[in-house]
Amino acid sequence: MRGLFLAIITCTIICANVNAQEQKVDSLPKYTWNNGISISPQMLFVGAWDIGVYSNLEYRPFGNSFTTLVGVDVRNKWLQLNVSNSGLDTRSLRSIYSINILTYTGLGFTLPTKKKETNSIYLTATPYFFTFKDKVETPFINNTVSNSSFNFNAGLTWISTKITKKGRRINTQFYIPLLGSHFLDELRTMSLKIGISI
Amino acid sequence: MRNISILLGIIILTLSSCSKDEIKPGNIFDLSNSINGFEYEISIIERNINTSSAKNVVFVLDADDLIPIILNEYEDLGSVESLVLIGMNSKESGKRVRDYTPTEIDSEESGKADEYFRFIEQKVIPELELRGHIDSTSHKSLLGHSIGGLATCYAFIKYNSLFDNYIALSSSLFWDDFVFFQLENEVRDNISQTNSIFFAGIGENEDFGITNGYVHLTENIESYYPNVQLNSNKVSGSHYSSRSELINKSLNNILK
Repeated sequence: MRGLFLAIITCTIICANVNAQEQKVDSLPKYTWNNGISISPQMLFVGAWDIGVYSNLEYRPFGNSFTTLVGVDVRNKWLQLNVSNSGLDTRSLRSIYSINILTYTGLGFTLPTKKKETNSIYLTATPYFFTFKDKVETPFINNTVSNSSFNFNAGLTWISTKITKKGRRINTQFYIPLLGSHFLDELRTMSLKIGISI
Repeated sequence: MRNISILLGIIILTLSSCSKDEIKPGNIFDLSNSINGFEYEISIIERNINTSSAKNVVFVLDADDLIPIILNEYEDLGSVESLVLIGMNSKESGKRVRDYTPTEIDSEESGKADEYFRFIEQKVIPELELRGHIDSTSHKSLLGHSIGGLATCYAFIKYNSLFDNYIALSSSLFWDDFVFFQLENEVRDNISQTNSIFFAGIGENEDFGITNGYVHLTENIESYYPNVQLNSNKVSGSHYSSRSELINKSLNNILK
């Protein structure tokens, strides 16, 4: 009896999704170009604000829910809190620059959603370039150091596009790295993005 | 779905029990720090112990995190050298900042490194000697990463009679606005003739002042401590991803 109930529920969900997919096929744009502001939430962990811009293109080659993604993000550390609750307390440390340039490509699918909203999930591969230069000046230490490196991680990108009453398309994105050198090290590439779609 | 849950459960249980399985009964016990009443769990893991050679004893800060990595790298090295790993974790969780930092800052419980190292000196080492895990011929090393690396550097300047070797990985020398370098400057004349091996390492992608601290630390050791054998290493990766390679190199450096 329980098995039958679960089977009915499963069939209902699948049928609902298939119907929704069919309804959406015509309404899904083949191309969506997204641009806006990108924020890395490192501030939650280490009191640093990495902010920049992003531009990416969603392409649905077959006009159905299968979709691809390619894009680029550029972020710089604009502010590091002097005394944060993470215990950094680095009053004399000055970030001259700390830049992440990320390129990414993804494969995914668009979920069946409401009439004025699309949600897509992508498996994303992200090669990125990280470069920094920072300076410390106290009576006991006076140094400037810099370094650059190429890195890679893979993760999930969620993209939501909503159409406002005025017809504008507002784009919200979230990227979380899942595979890479070490999850905690790759957190610097986690990002929240808000912008417009064309 | 049920099978996947069971499989995941088994994997989680296996992973969580790895480090504890390495410890023989009797090689894990509790000790209380008489200075402040804090309770610690002392754990001992031994490899290739024989009576004919001196033991390499490594006191490991953040033992739960680092001992599995050390054992893995030790086995990868195929080393036949003796190795004794000592973990000294607080019985209360999340107290590493309290125990490993030399000064107190407002935003969190901190600044008890002196009490921690006096506890090692007065209680842990005598107890380990009593139990036969270390003796006067043992080569004693202190290994720490991040805030533990800061504690290792602090032990080098303030408690250098306790250890022969220091392994400071990705040290958080930025603590309290780089106060370590002020403390080092204050005691430098008294300890400049100290004789030890110092292994310092970082990942090349580290920022937040860790690279700056590392550069200045290695410059100071080279400039002011002529009898210290410095081995400085920069490897690929960042704060966490560099740990395994650095531990591998440091073991190569200290095993005798």
